[in-house]
Amino acid sequence: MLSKITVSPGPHISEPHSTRSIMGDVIIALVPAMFAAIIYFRIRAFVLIGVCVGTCVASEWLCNLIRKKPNSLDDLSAVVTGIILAFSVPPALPWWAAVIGSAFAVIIGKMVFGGLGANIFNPAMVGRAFLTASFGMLMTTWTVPVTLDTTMPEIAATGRGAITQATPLAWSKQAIKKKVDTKVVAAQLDASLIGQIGGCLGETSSIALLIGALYLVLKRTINVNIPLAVLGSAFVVAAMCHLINPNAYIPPWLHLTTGGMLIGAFFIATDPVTMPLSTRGMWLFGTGVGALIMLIRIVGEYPEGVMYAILIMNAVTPLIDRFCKLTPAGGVPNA
Amino acid sequence: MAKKDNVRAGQVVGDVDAFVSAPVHSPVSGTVKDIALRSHPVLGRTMAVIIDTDPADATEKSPCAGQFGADFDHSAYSVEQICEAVRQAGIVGMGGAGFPTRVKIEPNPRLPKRTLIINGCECEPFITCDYRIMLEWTYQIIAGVKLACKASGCSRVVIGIEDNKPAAIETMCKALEACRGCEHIEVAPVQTKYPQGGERQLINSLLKRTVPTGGIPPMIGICVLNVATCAAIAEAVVTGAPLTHRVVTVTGEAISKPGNYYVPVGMQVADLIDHAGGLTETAAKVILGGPMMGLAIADLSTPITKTSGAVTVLTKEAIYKAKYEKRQTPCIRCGRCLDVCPENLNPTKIAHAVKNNLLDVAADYYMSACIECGCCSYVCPANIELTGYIKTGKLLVARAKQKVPE
Amino acid sequence: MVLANIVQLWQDAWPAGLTMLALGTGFAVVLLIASIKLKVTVDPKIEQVHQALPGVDCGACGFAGCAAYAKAVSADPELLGKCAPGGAETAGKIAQILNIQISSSGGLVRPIVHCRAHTDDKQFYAEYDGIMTCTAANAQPNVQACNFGCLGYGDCIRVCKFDALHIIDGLATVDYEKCTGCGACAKACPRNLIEMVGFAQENMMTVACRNRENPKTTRQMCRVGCIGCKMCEKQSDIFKIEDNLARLDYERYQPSEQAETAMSKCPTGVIVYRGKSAPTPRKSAQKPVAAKE
Repeated sequence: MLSKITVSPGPHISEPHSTRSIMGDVIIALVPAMFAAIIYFRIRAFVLIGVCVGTCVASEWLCNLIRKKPNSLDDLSAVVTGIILAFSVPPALPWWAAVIGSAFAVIIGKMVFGGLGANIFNPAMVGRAFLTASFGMLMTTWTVPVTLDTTMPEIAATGRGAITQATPLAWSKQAIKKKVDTKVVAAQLDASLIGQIGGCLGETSSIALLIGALYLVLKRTINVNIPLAVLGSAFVVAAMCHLINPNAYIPPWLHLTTGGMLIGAFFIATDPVTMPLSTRGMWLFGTGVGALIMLIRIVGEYPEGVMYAILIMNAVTPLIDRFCKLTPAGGVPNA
Repeated sequence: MAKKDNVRAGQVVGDVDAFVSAPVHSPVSGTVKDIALRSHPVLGRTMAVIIDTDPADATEKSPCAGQFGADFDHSAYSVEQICEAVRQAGIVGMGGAGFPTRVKIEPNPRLPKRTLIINGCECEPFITCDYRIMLEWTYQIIAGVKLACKASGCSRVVIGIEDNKPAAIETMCKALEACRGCEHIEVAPVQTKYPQGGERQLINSLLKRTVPTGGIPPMIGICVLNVATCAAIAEAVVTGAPLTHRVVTVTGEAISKPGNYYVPVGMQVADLIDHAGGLTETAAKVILGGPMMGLAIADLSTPITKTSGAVTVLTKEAIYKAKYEKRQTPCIRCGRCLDVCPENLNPTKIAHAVKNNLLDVAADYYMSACIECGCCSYVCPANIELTGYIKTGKLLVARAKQKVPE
Repeated sequence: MVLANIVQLWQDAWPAGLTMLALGTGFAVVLLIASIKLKVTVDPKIEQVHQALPGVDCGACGFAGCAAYAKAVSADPELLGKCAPGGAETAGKIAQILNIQISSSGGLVRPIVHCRAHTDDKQFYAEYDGIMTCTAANAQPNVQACNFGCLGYGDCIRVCKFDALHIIDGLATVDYEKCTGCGACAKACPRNLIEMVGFAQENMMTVACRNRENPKTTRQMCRVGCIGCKMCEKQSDIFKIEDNLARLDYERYQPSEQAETAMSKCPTGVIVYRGKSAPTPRKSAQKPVAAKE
């Protein structure tokens, strides 16, 4: 019996979670938004999510095969990348573009750096940035949810007939030049809460995303500092603009519920690999993301800024980590 | 000491003149069988005196808590008397570190002590030995506290007890009310949170003061003693009996009769486990100490030492239920280890620096300030043995400093 | 027409060209001044010495790499001969460059691992389940029954820059063909099992054990442990028993009849040859250690 005992340095017990369980939690948290996407965009949602997840998983498997590394698919990170990428592309994106984007996300965004944990940028956002740069037209064509009867003529866009529609943010961009119509604002807010609105596949329904986010926060899977910082700083910037000129700038709550703000704050900016380690760093990071989103949305040429804001702050993360070096509880020795 | 010598219970069998040291006494009467290398939980193999128990003199020592009551008067003993009795009895810190108590409580003009903290927090989950003695040896502990307070010259005593032990807090408070001259002693409940029993953490929770990194409590005028140590002080000063027995928690899923046992120091772990009903079939790890900082022992003939508060026997399930296929996955930089570190360090950075043999980087992130509590390894989802790497790093630094013997 | 174009081009381009010329001249002047004012004189000899060194940056000399050693040895010829990988040849080259005389160097210094226990020879009480390095495992008392012998987790292998050490069935084994005697392994071994020995012969005899337990315990722990039986001491005076362990005086070692006899009489076969052409050690007469009940 004694030969069966083992020895190792302490601690001898550990908390029952793993990278796999964390990623699993994120997938569970994305399920409500997935439901919303399927309700609003039907078969397109199925195809896109399936294609993105499939390509991400296949790319990671292939990379490991070529690099002769042990299989790392069981940490489920490729699945998360696939789902988030699918959620952040327009529903009308052709399947081949999704394949290219997913492959780029995993291969260039993650595997060339050495796999999970070594990547500098969030892989899904790398994939999306690549798609935006390569297929600008496809990435800005927004399909109207099938459940929506076009009750908002103001925002019905031109160009692609009845099936496309400008996103609320694109409309808000025009509003800067024209004038904010409060009625439209109210309609938009209602629509964006449940998701009856044009936009990226998984970003439309705020309520579905918030349910998932609540699950992650309650399970302590994500650190709540980052979403708070992102939403807080974005709100402050948006509120200031709105106060200065309510006719040109849409109200802050509409900024928070539209576009990629919620999915960005709760699911993408909280990607552990690309966020700072320390609490102070997280606040700095989150504030930066929120402020950059608003900067791009209000001043920049793009209607939507979540992707670039997160990528820029990802790049700054090592700097933040260095800047926010922790001091030991007992103070710096000999100083 | 030589082979075939007769020893009496309480006789000194080992002593050195070094300042930071304490003598060792035989807990039993018998004859010296051998003086040879034996397993030790920390030192590996060390010289030991092996004593064959004399069957004729089988009187077993029993706890002396009955001798102490609310009427104990510490004024009968002088500071020198107390210090000398503590030194003679070979008392060391019984919480785990084993620092000679005499050195701790002796008045030191350079570092005068003002506050005495009595550590009534269990150092680790699973362990209950301090809790039991607080309930059963209450007056003996209070007597020890008074003596230690007098010897160290402290004006204030705080007994920190975790808030998941309301019975101990109540018993202690009642006993203090019954005692005379206890106005300067207070009981303070603290949050139940590992590693609350660490002296740096306890000082912080009780007094909101921090011990400087790399420093020791006397530097800020504080002396920390474990409740078991206090009981031993009282026993040594009043009855003159040396520290030869201690209370050990035998616990874990793989033990048939878990409980707290009063055992002689030097008893083999295997014998103690047998006494506690033996190991069950599922036993996978025998740990001297608790599950977080305890030392897993390979050789069950390793003896119980003065500092062993517990023997924890874990099953394979208890060890691995958490560990995802036992496999280490890459760090995902989630920052959980930073959140839990009681010393506010960056465990992942230090561990990875050590792994890549960058000891200067590790030192730059204050590796030496780590108290090795194991919280970072406990929470790590990637199953990285952060504490293990940090310990290794400290060993490498220590080794780089010493010269290779030619 | 063509001419008109060229003229047009010239008229458009001359301000740009002139600006470039002016800028270029300006920078050239700045660089010229800088190269004169901020000139760092490098002793060409240091560069030559650096070229002569093996360039493996092993650190055996005690300096941070070959460049640092080249600088140091150029300043202080006393440091000559510190380069273990380069050996006498490199020392000769450096002496030539620095134009100094070198004293004749002694025999080669090579590591000897003082353990010969493979996995089958050792007794284990428990399975080690921690970080797979010797330093980490050594902090775990009784990780293998013998607290003196080779752990086989390869800390020495990882520091060897010459691929001259390998773990063969749980025992660090030196490849003397590749070894340069830099001594990194001796510094790395947490149990101080590796000793740098002056090899007067191509093969050195050694007592491949460091176990100081009493004989009975040693027998229980390891099939090839030294039990301090004094058999070797009786045969040859180069052996000496201290603390239940035979030690060989390497300084006085010469191949001899007595030493051979001592080796063949050793009951546990712990006296072995180590070196480039060392014969395979004979099997121990001892039975394999039984698993502890």
